[in-house]
Parts: sequence; C-alpha cells; structure tokens
Amino acid sequence: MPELSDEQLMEASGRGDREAFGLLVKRHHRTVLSFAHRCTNRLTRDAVDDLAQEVFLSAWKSAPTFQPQARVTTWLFRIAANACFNLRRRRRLRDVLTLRDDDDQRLAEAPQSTDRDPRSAEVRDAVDSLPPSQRAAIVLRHFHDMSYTDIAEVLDISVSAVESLLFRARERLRRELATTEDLSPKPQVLPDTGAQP
Amino acid sequence: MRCEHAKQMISRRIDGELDSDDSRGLHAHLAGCADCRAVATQLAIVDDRLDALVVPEAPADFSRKVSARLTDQSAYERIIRHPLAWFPHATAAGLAFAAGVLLVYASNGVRETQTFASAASDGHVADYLQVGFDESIDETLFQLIAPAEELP
Ligand SMILES: [Zn+2]
Repeated sequence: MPELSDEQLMEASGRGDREAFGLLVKRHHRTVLSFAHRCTNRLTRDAVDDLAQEVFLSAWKSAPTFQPQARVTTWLFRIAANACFNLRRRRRLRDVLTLRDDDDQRLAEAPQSTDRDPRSAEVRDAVDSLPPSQRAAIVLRHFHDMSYTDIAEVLDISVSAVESLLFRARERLRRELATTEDLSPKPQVLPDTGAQP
Repeated sequence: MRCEHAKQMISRRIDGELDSDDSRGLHAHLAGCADCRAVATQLAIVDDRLDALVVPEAPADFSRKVSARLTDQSAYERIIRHPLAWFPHATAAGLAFAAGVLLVYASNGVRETQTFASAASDGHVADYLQVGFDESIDETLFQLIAPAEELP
C-alpha cells in the first residue's frame, strides 16, 4: 500500500479514523515536542510532554474542519503556538492573582539536563525573555527552517510582520547576550610571515 | 541606506530571504559603516549560539499516551452527548445540595442559610454543582456508561 500523505491522513482522521491519526502523531510528535520545548523553556519535561499531547488532542478535535489545501505541519505548528501563548497568558494571570495551582508544578524552574555547554543557560534565559510571538518566530525559522511565508501562516500575520518579529528578536537577543557573554568574533590567527614592523 | 534598514536586511540575509538587489545595497552600506559591520558579526554569532538550545529525546511512549487520552476524551464526550446518563448523578447532586442546605441550617442557623441560598440564586450554585459533576465524571460514571456502548 502506498504511504498516505499527511493531508490524506488528516482527512481520514476527520472522519474519525483513529489509526490514521495515530500515524500522524508518530510522524510529527518529535517536531511538536521540540517546538514546545523551545517555546516554553521553563517548563519541566513532563509538562512539555503534556502540552504536546494537548496539541494533538486539539488537532484530533478539529480534524473534521481541516482544509485539505492547508499543510498539516503548518496547522500543527499553529495549534502548538497557540497552546504555548495560552500557557504564557495563564502564567501571567496567575502571577497577577498570585494564585497557586497545578501550573506551579509545570512551571517549576527545571534546569534541563540536556545542557552541556554552560553558555546554553544564558541563551535559554535570553530566548525566554523574548515576547511569545518573537520567540515562536525565531524557533520556527532557526530550528524548523520555515520560510517567512510559512511562519506568517502559522502565526496568522503578514510576511512583513514576520520579518519585523525576527529582526526585533535578533536585536533583543544580541543585546541580552552582549551583556553576559562575549559576542566579538574569535581573533583570527594570522600566519607569521617573519617580517618585522 | 539608513543603519536601521541595513540591520533589518542583515536579519533577512541570515534567513536567506534577501534578493540580489538588496544584497548589493547592503554590501555597499556595510563597506562604509563600521557599526553595522559589527552588528552583522554579532548577529551571526547570536544565530550560532541559538544552536545551544537543545531539546531532550522524545519519550518512547508519547503516541501511546496521546491514544489513551483520546480514548478518555471520547468516553467523556459520549457522556456529554447523552444527557440522560447524567440523571442519576444530577439527582445525587441535587440531594447533596439539599442536604448541604439542611446541614448549614441546622448547625449555623438561619443567617448562614440565607447567605448560602442567596449565593445559589445568584448563580453561584452552578459552581457548587459543577464541582459535584466534575468529581462524578471520574471512574464511577465511566463504569456506568462504558459497558452500555462500546468505546472506540
Ligand atoms: Zn550602518
């Protein structure tokens, strides 16, 4: 049997085909997880897994409304981005109300065991300081190699707005990182010609 | 070209989204502007540093967990779609509510009962009942509904 495309699988999912949806989950869960991880640096690993599961539950729920001309990956990123933004909003609301709830566990400042480079903590903090849309744009561009047009579709904004988001994100990261680490290029070692000045 | 515009173009160049005309324009600006040259170098380094944002391996049982949650969710939706299934629990919640009113009345007197009753008439009763429903959705209700209709 020829391998079905994402879009065919999604259409089948829309008709209630759990097996087709299971194949989509298998195909794309790594992408969704890595996006969610990078967009929500301060979440624990379990919380990110949970968030990614919710993305797929939400995809399953809205599968019947999926437009076949759309791309499944773009659509999944859109759901994932919204989930990350909502989480951030909940977090802000919680901060305002100083309520404690289940999110406290999710939001525990968990140093990620994947950090080997000591500078990566600084990068994570710098990325974490970005507003959500800038952060999503930079993650989609840098790690998922998406074009401006695709990012525009995911975030439901214009291409020029994407360009502006990425520029502002980079400028902010540059300033943040410049205060904590050396952003000057490594000095080039020039060949010794033996000539005296 | 102004520096702000040049910096925006540097960002586009990093993304490979600069056409050849803009590329020539940027090149000319950088040749004459040390500030923007420094920014271009720093932005390239920032882009490199982003690679430090590594993510852990995906858990092996991820697909299974999603599948399990889908099963739970469809069971839940089945309950929502069949309101009659709520009947015994709505009755139970109603009785519990009435018992609560009596209890408050008996232990704290008329004033508290009035407060409780007025909260109920203000719509807060929905909150009380909601709690009851949420809790009852758990295991018991699944056991009541599930055997009648086969879950997917
Ligand atoms: Zn300049």
